[in-house]
Amino acid sequence: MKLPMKLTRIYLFIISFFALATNSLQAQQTASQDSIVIKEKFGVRVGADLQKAIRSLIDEDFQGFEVLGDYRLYKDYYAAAEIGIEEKDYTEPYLDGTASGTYIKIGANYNAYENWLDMQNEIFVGIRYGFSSFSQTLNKYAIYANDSYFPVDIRETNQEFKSLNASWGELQAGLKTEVLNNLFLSIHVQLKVMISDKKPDDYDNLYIPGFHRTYDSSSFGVGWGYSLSYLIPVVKKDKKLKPLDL
Amino acid sequence: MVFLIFSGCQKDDICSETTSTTPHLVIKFLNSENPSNTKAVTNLQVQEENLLEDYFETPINDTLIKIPLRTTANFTNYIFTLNAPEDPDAEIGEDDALPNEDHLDFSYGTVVEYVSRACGYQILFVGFEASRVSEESNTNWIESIEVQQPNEITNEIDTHLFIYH
Repeated sequence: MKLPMKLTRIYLFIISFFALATNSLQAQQTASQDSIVIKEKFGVRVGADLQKAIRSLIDEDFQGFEVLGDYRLYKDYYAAAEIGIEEKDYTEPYLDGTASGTYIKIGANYNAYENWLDMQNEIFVGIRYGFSSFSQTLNKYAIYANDSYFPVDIRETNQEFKSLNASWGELQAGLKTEVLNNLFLSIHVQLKVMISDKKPDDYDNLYIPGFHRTYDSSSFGVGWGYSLSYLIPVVKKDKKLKPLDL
Repeated sequence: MVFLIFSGCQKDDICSETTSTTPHLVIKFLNSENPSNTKAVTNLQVQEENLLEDYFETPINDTLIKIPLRTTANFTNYIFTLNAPEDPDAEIGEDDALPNEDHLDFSYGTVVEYVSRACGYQILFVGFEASRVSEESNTNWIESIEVQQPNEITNEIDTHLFIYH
Protein backbone atom coordinates (compact mmCIF):
# COMPACT_ATOMS: atom_id res chain seq x y z
CA MET A 1 0.00 0.00 0.00
CA LYS A 2 1.28 3.37 -0.93
CA LEU A 3 0.39 6.24 1.30
CA PRO A 4 -0.27 9.60 -0.15
CA MET A 5 2.63 11.93 0.36
CA LYS A 6 0.61 14.37 2.39
CA LEU A 7 -0.46 11.77 4.94
CA THR A 8 3.10 10.47 5.34
CA ARG A 9 4.27 13.92 6.24
CA ILE A 10 1.60 14.18 8.86
CA TYR A 11 2.60 10.86 10.38
CA LEU A 12 6.21 11.90 10.44
CA PHE A 13 5.32 15.09 12.15
CA ILE A 14 3.36 13.35 14.85
CA ILE A 15 6.04 10.75 15.51
CA SER A 16 8.80 13.31 15.67
CA PHE A 17 6.73 15.46 17.97
CA PHE A 18 6.32 12.63 20.42
CA ALA A 19 9.98 11.78 20.12
CA LEU A 20 10.92 15.35 20.82
CA ALA A 21 8.53 15.63 23.67
CA THR A 22 9.83 12.45 25.23
CA ASN A 23 13.36 13.65 24.76
CA SER A 24 12.79 16.98 26.35
CA LEU A 25 10.99 15.34 29.28
CA GLN A 26 13.98 13.08 29.79
CA ALA A 27 16.23 16.10 29.66
CA GLN A 28 14.15 17.84 32.29
CA GLN A 29 14.29 14.88 34.60
CA THR A 30 18.06 14.75 34.25
CA ALA A 31 18.30 18.39 35.07
CA SER A 32 16.19 18.00 38.18
CA GLN A 33 18.04 14.96 39.45
CA ASP A 34 19.80 17.18 42.00
CA SER A 35 16.77 18.83 43.56
CA ILE A 36 13.27 20.21 43.06
CA VAL A 37 12.62 23.63 44.46
CA ILE A 38 9.17 24.43 45.84
CA LYS A 39 7.81 27.41 47.68
CA GLU A 40 6.98 26.92 51.36
CA LYS A 41 4.70 29.32 53.15
CA PHE A 42 5.62 30.76 56.52
CA GLY A 43 3.12 32.90 58.32
CA VAL A 44 0.66 33.47 61.08
CA ARG A 45 -2.16 30.99 61.34
CA VAL A 46 -5.20 32.20 63.30
CA GLY A 47 -8.41 30.43 64.10
CA ALA A 48 -11.11 29.52 66.54
CA ASP A 49 -12.12 26.40 68.39
CA LEU A 50 -15.30 25.01 66.82
CA GLN A 51 -15.91 22.47 69.56
CA LYS A 52 -16.31 25.15 72.25
CA ALA A 53 -18.41 27.31 69.93
CA ILE A 54 -20.80 24.46 69.08
CA ARG A 55 -20.95 23.32 72.69
CA SER A 56 -21.94 26.84 73.74
CA LEU A 57 -24.97 26.53 71.50
CA ILE A 58 -26.13 23.07 72.52
CA ASP A 59 -24.99 22.72 76.15
CA GLU A 60 -26.86 25.08 78.46
CA ASP A 61 -24.26 24.55 81.20
CA PHE A 62 -21.39 25.78 79.06
CA GLN A 63 -20.40 29.07 77.47
CA GLY A 64 -16.96 29.32 75.95
CA PHE A 65 -14.86 30.62 73.13
CA GLU A 66 -11.24 30.12 72.22
CA VAL A 67 -9.06 31.81 69.63
CA LEU A 68 -5.79 30.22 68.68
CA GLY A 69 -2.79 30.97 66.60
CA ASP A 70 0.57 29.64 65.61
CA TYR A 71 3.61 30.85 63.77
CA ARG A 72 6.04 28.65 61.93
CA LEU A 73 9.43 29.44 63.35
CA TYR A 74 11.71 26.96 61.68
CA LYS A 75 11.20 23.84 59.60
CA ASP A 76 8.78 21.74 61.65
CA TYR A 77 8.63 23.96 64.72
CA TYR A 78 5.75 26.31 65.46
CA ALA A 79 5.18 28.78 68.27
CA ALA A 80 1.59 28.32 69.38
CA ALA A 81 -0.90 29.92 71.75
CA GLU A 82 -4.56 29.81 72.71
CA ILE A 83 -6.64 32.41 74.52
CA GLY A 84 -10.09 31.59 75.78
CA ILE A 85 -13.01 32.44 78.00
CA GLU A 86 -15.29 29.91 79.68
CA GLU A 87 -18.26 29.77 82.01
CA LYS A 88 -19.25 26.34 83.22
CA ASP A 89 -22.08 25.28 85.53
CA TYR A 90 -21.47 22.00 87.27
CA THR A 91 -23.83 19.88 89.33
CA GLU A 92 -22.55 17.35 91.81
CA PRO A 93 -24.67 15.15 94.09
CA TYR A 94 -24.25 17.50 97.07
CA LEU A 95 -23.39 20.85 95.52
CA ASP A 96 -23.68 22.93 92.42
CA GLY A 97 -21.51 25.78 91.28
CA THR A 98 -20.21 27.87 88.42
CA ALA A 99 -16.65 28.54 87.29
CA SER A 100 -16.05 31.61 85.17
CA GLY A 101 -12.88 33.10 83.78
CA THR A 102 -10.25 33.44 81.11
CA TYR A 103 -7.12 31.53 80.23
CA ILE A 104 -4.04 31.65 78.06
CA LYS A 105 -1.85 28.82 76.85
CA ILE A 106 1.58 29.42 75.37
CA GLY A 107 3.93 26.89 73.89
CA ALA A 108 5.12 25.16 70.77
CA ASN A 109 4.17 22.43 68.33
CA TYR A 110 6.37 20.02 66.46
CA ASN A 111 5.16 18.57 63.19
CA ALA A 112 6.21 14.98 62.80
CA TYR A 113 4.63 14.52 59.38
CA GLU A 114 6.79 14.52 56.26
CA ASN A 115 4.74 16.36 53.66
CA TRP A 116 4.58 15.51 49.97
CA LEU A 117 5.77 18.49 47.93
CA ASP A 118 4.23 21.75 49.09
CA MET A 119 1.41 20.31 51.18
CA GLN A 120 1.13 21.55 54.73
CA ASN A 121 -0.62 18.82 56.66
CA GLU A 122 0.54 18.02 60.17
CA ILE A 123 0.65 15.26 62.69
CA PHE A 124 1.77 17.30 65.61
CA VAL A 125 2.70 17.12 69.25
CA GLY A 126 2.76 20.22 71.39
CA ILE A 127 3.55 21.50 74.84
CA ARG A 128 1.87 24.40 76.57
CA TYR A 129 2.06 26.39 79.75
CA GLY A 130 -1.47 27.30 80.74
CA PHE A 131 -2.65 29.99 83.13
CA SER A 132 -6.20 30.77 84.13
CA SER A 133 -7.70 33.59 86.17
CA PHE A 134 -11.24 32.89 87.32
CA SER A 135 -13.92 32.90 89.99
CA GLN A 136 -15.97 30.08 91.51
CA THR A 137 -19.54 30.55 92.62
CA LEU A 138 -21.04 28.09 95.04
CA ASN A 139 -24.73 28.29 94.19
CA LYS A 140 -26.15 25.62 96.46
CA TYR A 141 -24.97 22.79 98.65
CA ALA A 142 -26.24 20.09 100.96
CA ILE A 143 -24.74 19.03 104.25
CA TYR A 144 -23.60 15.47 103.82
CA ALA A 145 -25.03 13.33 106.60
CA ASN A 146 -24.56 9.61 106.48
CA ASP A 147 -28.01 9.37 108.03
CA SER A 148 -31.55 10.01 106.82
CA TYR A 149 -33.19 10.65 110.21
CA PHE A 150 -33.33 14.41 109.75
CA PRO A 151 -34.44 16.07 106.52
CA VAL A 152 -31.59 16.97 104.16
CA ASP A 153 -30.01 20.30 105.07
CA ILE A 154 -29.82 22.24 101.79
CA ARG A 155 -28.28 25.70 101.72
CA GLU A 156 -28.57 28.30 98.98
CA THR A 157 -25.57 30.55 99.14
CA ASN A 158 -24.63 32.09 95.78
CA GLN A 159 -21.28 32.77 97.34
CA GLU A 160 -18.67 33.98 94.89
CA PHE A 161 -14.97 33.31 95.41
CA LYS A 162 -12.97 35.79 93.36
CA SER A 163 -9.32 36.25 92.35
CA LEU A 164 -8.53 32.59 91.93
CA ASN A 165 -5.92 31.26 89.54
CA ALA A 166 -4.28 28.09 88.39
CA SER A 167 -1.45 27.07 86.10
CA TRP A 168 -0.66 23.83 84.38
CA GLY A 169 1.52 22.05 81.87
CA GLU A 170 -0.19 20.54 78.87
CA LEU A 171 0.71 17.95 76.24
CA GLN A 172 -1.16 18.05 72.96
CA ALA A 173 -1.26 15.65 70.05
CA GLY A 174 -3.31 16.02 66.93
CA LEU A 175 -3.78 16.38 63.21
CA LYS A 176 -4.02 19.40 60.94
CA THR A 177 -5.12 19.25 57.38
CA GLU A 178 -5.36 21.93 54.71
CA VAL A 179 -8.91 21.62 53.46
CA LEU A 180 -8.84 24.64 51.17
CA ASN A 181 -5.97 26.87 50.19
CA ASN A 182 -4.60 28.21 53.50
CA LEU A 183 -7.62 26.98 55.45
CA PHE A 184 -6.96 24.30 58.05
CA LEU A 185 -9.07 21.94 60.11
CA SER A 186 -7.43 20.58 63.21
CA ILE A 187 -8.31 18.09 65.91
CA HIS A 188 -6.25 17.37 68.98
CA VAL A 189 -6.32 15.90 72.46
CA GLN A 190 -4.90 17.42 75.63
CA LEU A 191 -3.39 15.95 78.77
CA LYS A 192 -2.75 18.41 81.58
CA VAL A 193 -0.88 18.33 84.85
CA MET A 194 -1.63 21.00 87.45
CA ILE A 195 1.32 23.12 88.52
CA SER A 196 -0.39 25.58 90.87
CA ASP A 197 -3.95 25.90 92.10
CA LYS A 198 -5.07 28.80 94.28
CA LYS A 199 -8.15 27.39 95.97
CA PRO A 200 -10.90 29.34 97.70
CA ASP A 201 -11.23 29.10 101.49
CA ASP A 202 -13.43 26.16 102.37
CA TYR A 203 -14.22 25.28 98.77
CA ASP A 204 -12.39 23.83 95.80
CA ASN A 205 -11.68 24.62 92.16
CA LEU A 206 -13.88 21.88 90.73
CA TYR A 207 -13.65 23.32 87.23
CA ILE A 208 -10.96 25.61 85.88
CA PRO A 209 -11.39 27.50 82.58
CA GLY A 210 -8.94 26.01 80.09
CA PHE A 211 -7.98 23.16 82.41
CA HIS A 212 -11.53 21.80 82.68
CA ARG A 213 -12.68 19.37 85.35
CA THR A 214 -10.32 18.74 88.23
CA TYR A 215 -9.93 15.57 90.26
CA ASP A 216 -9.62 15.27 94.04
CA SER A 217 -7.37 12.26 93.80
CA SER A 218 -5.00 13.38 91.03
CA SER A 219 -3.62 16.52 89.44
CA PHE A 220 -4.39 15.41 85.89
CA GLY A 221 -6.85 16.96 83.50
CA VAL A 222 -7.97 16.17 79.98
CA GLY A 223 -9.47 17.95 77.01
CA TRP A 224 -9.76 18.11 73.29
CA GLY A 225 -10.19 20.66 70.55
CA TYR A 226 -11.54 20.89 67.04
CA SER A 227 -10.58 24.08 65.28
CA LEU A 228 -10.65 25.95 62.03
CA SER A 229 -7.75 28.27 61.20
CA TYR A 230 -6.51 30.39 58.36
CA LEU A 231 -2.89 30.86 57.33
CA ILE A 232 -1.87 34.37 56.47
CA PRO A 233 1.31 33.80 54.47
CA VAL A 234 3.98 36.30 55.39
CA VAL A 235 7.06 34.87 53.75
CA LYS A 236 7.63 32.19 51.18
CA LYS A 237 10.85 30.29 51.41
CA ASP A 238 12.38 27.94 48.91
CA LYS A 239 12.47 24.35 49.96
CA LYS A 240 14.73 21.96 48.10
CA LEU A 241 13.33 18.48 47.88
CA LYS A 242 15.80 15.65 47.79
CA PRO A 243 15.42 13.35 44.80
CA LEU A 244 13.67 10.11 45.44
CA ASP A 245 15.76 7.01 45.14
CA LEU A 246 14.17 5.09 42.31
CA MET B 1 -1.86 7.37 83.04
CA VAL B 2 -5.28 6.81 81.50
CA PHE B 3 -5.95 4.26 84.21
CA LEU B 4 -5.03 6.79 86.86
CA ILE B 5 -7.51 9.28 85.47
CA PHE B 6 -10.35 6.80 85.27
CA SER B 7 -9.72 5.25 88.63
CA GLY B 8 -9.62 8.79 89.96
CA CYS B 9 -13.01 9.38 88.38
CA GLN B 10 -14.77 6.73 90.41
CA LYS B 11 -13.23 7.82 93.64
CA ASP B 12 -14.29 11.37 92.89
CA ASP B 13 -17.87 10.71 91.94
CA ILE B 14 -19.05 8.62 94.87
CA CYS B 15 -18.81 9.77 98.47
CA SER B 16 -16.90 6.91 100.02
CA GLU B 17 -18.09 5.34 103.28
CA THR B 18 -14.59 5.81 104.63
CA THR B 19 -14.66 9.57 104.09
CA SER B 20 -15.21 11.46 107.28
CA THR B 21 -18.45 13.46 106.95
CA THR B 22 -20.89 15.05 109.43
CA PRO B 23 -20.21 13.04 112.59
CA HIS B 24 -22.84 11.37 114.76
CA LEU B 25 -22.91 11.92 118.48
CA VAL B 26 -21.20 8.88 120.03
CA ILE B 27 -22.62 7.86 123.40
CA LYS B 28 -21.28 5.21 125.74
CA PHE B 29 -23.48 3.70 128.49
CA LEU B 30 -21.77 3.03 131.81
CA ASN B 31 -22.77 1.45 135.07
CA SER B 32 -23.56 4.18 137.58
CA GLU B 33 -22.62 1.90 140.47
CA ASN B 34 -19.36 0.86 138.89
CA PRO B 35 -18.43 3.72 136.51
CA SER B 36 -15.47 1.97 134.92
CA ASN B 37 -17.75 -0.71 133.49
CA THR B 38 -20.00 -0.37 130.50
CA LYS B 39 -23.62 -1.35 130.94
CA ALA B 40 -26.02 -2.09 128.13
CA VAL B 41 -29.44 -0.46 128.16
CA THR B 42 -32.33 -2.90 128.00
CA ASN B 43 -34.47 -2.24 124.94
CA LEU B 44 -33.32 1.31 124.26
CA GLN B 45 -35.17 3.45 121.78
CA VAL B 46 -34.37 7.08 120.97
CA GLN B 47 -36.50 9.70 119.30
CA GLU B 48 -35.96 13.36 118.58
CA GLU B 49 -38.71 15.36 120.32
CA ASN B 50 -40.06 16.97 117.16
CA LEU B 51 -39.93 13.90 114.95
CA LEU B 52 -42.63 11.26 114.94
CA GLU B 53 -40.27 8.47 114.04
CA ASP B 54 -38.03 6.32 116.24
CA TYR B 55 -34.36 6.37 115.38
CA PHE B 56 -33.75 2.64 115.74
CA GLU B 57 -35.89 0.26 113.75
CA THR B 58 -36.30 -1.90 116.85
CA PRO B 59 -35.09 -1.28 120.42
CA ILE B 60 -31.43 -2.15 120.93
CA ASN B 61 -29.36 -3.53 123.79
CA ASP B 62 -25.98 -1.92 123.29
CA THR B 63 -23.33 -0.12 125.30
CA LEU B 64 -22.41 2.30 122.48
CA ILE B 65 -24.75 4.19 120.18
CA LYS B 66 -24.33 6.79 117.44
CA ILE B 67 -27.17 9.25 116.85
CA PRO B 68 -27.36 12.25 114.51
CA LEU B 69 -27.61 15.89 115.57
CA ARG B 70 -29.66 18.52 113.77
CA THR B 71 -27.48 20.62 111.47
CA THR B 72 -30.20 23.22 110.80
CA ALA B 73 -30.35 24.30 114.44
CA ASN B 74 -27.93 24.62 117.35
CA PHE B 75 -29.85 22.21 119.53
CA THR B 76 -31.30 18.70 119.35
CA ASN B 77 -33.56 17.28 122.05
CA TYR B 78 -33.82 13.53 122.32
CA ILE B 79 -36.07 11.18 124.26
CA PHE B 80 -34.24 8.08 125.51
CA THR B 81 -36.63 5.28 126.31
CA LEU B 82 -35.64 2.38 128.53
CA ASN B 83 -37.67 -0.84 128.16
CA ALA B 84 -39.14 0.38 124.91
CA PRO B 85 -41.73 -2.01 123.51
CA GLU B 86 -40.91 -3.86 120.31
CA ASP B 87 -44.17 -2.65 118.82
CA PRO B 88 -45.04 0.88 120.04
CA ASP B 89 -48.74 0.27 119.32
CA ALA B 90 -49.03 -2.95 121.31
CA GLU B 91 -50.54 -2.86 124.78
CA ILE B 92 -48.14 -3.34 127.63
CA GLY B 93 -48.73 -6.60 129.43
CA GLU B 94 -48.66 -6.98 133.23
CA ASP B 95 -45.33 -8.80 133.21
CA ASP B 96 -43.63 -6.31 130.88
CA ALA B 97 -41.13 -3.79 132.28
CA LEU B 98 -42.57 -0.30 132.11
CA PRO B 99 -41.06 2.01 129.53
CA ASN B 100 -39.21 4.96 131.05
CA GLU B 101 -38.67 8.09 128.98
CA ASP B 102 -35.81 10.45 129.85
CA HIS B 103 -35.18 13.70 128.02
CA LEU B 104 -31.67 14.84 127.10
CA ASP B 105 -31.14 18.28 125.59
CA PHE B 106 -28.04 18.90 123.47
CA SER B 107 -26.75 22.30 122.39
CA TYR B 108 -23.76 23.22 120.24
CA GLY B 109 -22.37 25.52 117.62
CA THR B 110 -22.04 24.38 114.02
CA VAL B 111 -19.06 24.83 111.71
CA VAL B 112 -19.47 24.19 107.98
CA GLU B 113 -16.48 22.52 106.34
CA TYR B 114 -15.82 21.54 102.73
CA VAL B 115 -15.14 17.84 102.25
CA SER B 116 -14.88 16.95 98.57
CA ARG B 117 -16.58 17.05 95.17
CA ALA B 118 -18.60 13.91 95.88
CA CYS B 119 -19.40 14.52 99.55
CA GLY B 120 -20.00 18.26 99.47
CA TYR B 121 -19.91 19.82 102.91
CA GLN B 122 -19.98 18.51 106.46
CA ILE B 123 -20.92 20.06 109.79
CA LEU B 124 -18.64 19.89 112.80
CA PHE B 125 -20.09 20.58 116.24
CA VAL B 126 -18.30 22.78 118.74
CA GLY B 127 -19.03 23.80 122.32
CA PHE B 128 -21.17 20.73 122.79
CA GLU B 129 -23.26 20.69 125.96
CA ALA B 130 -25.76 18.18 127.26
CA SER B 131 -28.32 18.32 130.06
CA ARG B 132 -30.74 15.82 131.50
CA VAL B 133 -34.26 17.02 132.17
CA SER B 134 -34.96 16.00 135.79
CA GLU B 135 -38.29 14.42 136.53
CA GLU B 136 -40.20 15.49 139.64
CA SER B 137 -40.54 12.20 141.41
CA ASN B 138 -36.95 11.25 140.60
CA THR B 139 -38.00 8.57 138.16
CA ASN B 140 -35.11 9.18 135.73
CA TRP B 141 -33.43 5.96 134.67
CA ILE B 142 -30.40 8.00 133.66
CA GLU B 143 -28.41 8.72 136.79
CA SER B 144 -26.05 11.27 135.30
CA ILE B 145 -24.35 12.33 132.09
CA GLU B 146 -20.83 13.53 131.36
CA VAL B 147 -19.67 15.39 128.22
CA GLN B 148 -16.18 14.32 127.20
CA GLN B 149 -13.49 16.97 126.67
CA PRO B 150 -12.69 18.64 124.37
CA ASN B 151 -16.40 19.18 123.95
CA GLU B 152 -16.43 19.17 120.18
CA ILE B 153 -17.73 16.55 117.79
CA THR B 154 -15.45 16.28 114.78
CA ASN B 155 -15.27 12.53 114.23
CA GLU B 156 -16.91 9.28 115.24
CA ILE B 157 -13.75 7.69 116.62
CA ASP B 158 -14.00 9.53 119.93
CA THR B 159 -16.83 9.02 122.40
CA HIS B 160 -18.49 12.36 123.09
CA LEU B 161 -20.91 11.59 125.90
CA PHE B 162 -21.01 9.14 128.82
CA ILE B 163 -24.41 8.16 130.20
CA TYR B 164 -24.43 6.53 133.66
CA HIS B 165 -27.43 4.43 134.58
